[in-house]
Amino acid sequence: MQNEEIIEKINSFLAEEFEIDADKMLPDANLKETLDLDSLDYIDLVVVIESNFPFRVKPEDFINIITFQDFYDYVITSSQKELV
Amino acid sequence: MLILQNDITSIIPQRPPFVMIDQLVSCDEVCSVTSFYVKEENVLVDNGELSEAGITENIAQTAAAGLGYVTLKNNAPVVVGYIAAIKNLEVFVLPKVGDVIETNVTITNQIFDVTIITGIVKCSGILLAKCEMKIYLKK
Repeated sequence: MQNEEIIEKINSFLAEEFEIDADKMLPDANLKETLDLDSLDYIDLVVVIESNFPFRVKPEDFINIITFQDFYDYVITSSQKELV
Repeated sequence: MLILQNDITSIIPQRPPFVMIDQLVSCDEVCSVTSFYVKEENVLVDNGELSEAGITENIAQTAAAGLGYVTLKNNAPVVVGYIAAIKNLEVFVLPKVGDVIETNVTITNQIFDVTIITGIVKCSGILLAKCEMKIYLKK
């Protein structure tokens, strides 16, 4: 899967799970604030990630994820590692 | 039948009058099934029907019973669980006094310290209610 396809897939499940317009998901936007995530929403986020991509998420993975771009990069990198 | 009514409090933390399950019918690492006879004097019965709060408590206690049974069986340390969230609760029919409900809980996911379960409540094969719960396990 190409990076663009992964980003499209991420935006699609984020829009569905968190009921947010796709045009608000800008690469530099703050993920937590834009999606209005609380601690339980992060659990939902992990569920959708693990349902859509072949890797397991660790709690510490979220430390460096601030923007949507950080999140895209994380998913892309983690997916590629899993395939190696 | 794995655990009968008299012993049910050995695997759940709740105590009368707030016990909303009678028997643990079956249980494994993923699924647990309980039965519960709805009595008139139940604290969560209102106008002859078990309330929505009673149903959600019944589902939560079924999850607790499953976990408690497995913990006891494996001689593992006791873990306390808290309902963190209830999602997609749908109540189709409230069980009436005199009904015996059967509740099936399945663990669908384990994320960090949170266990996600789905609960289904039936009476005589008819679906009464279902929901998803997030249960925080304090280890």
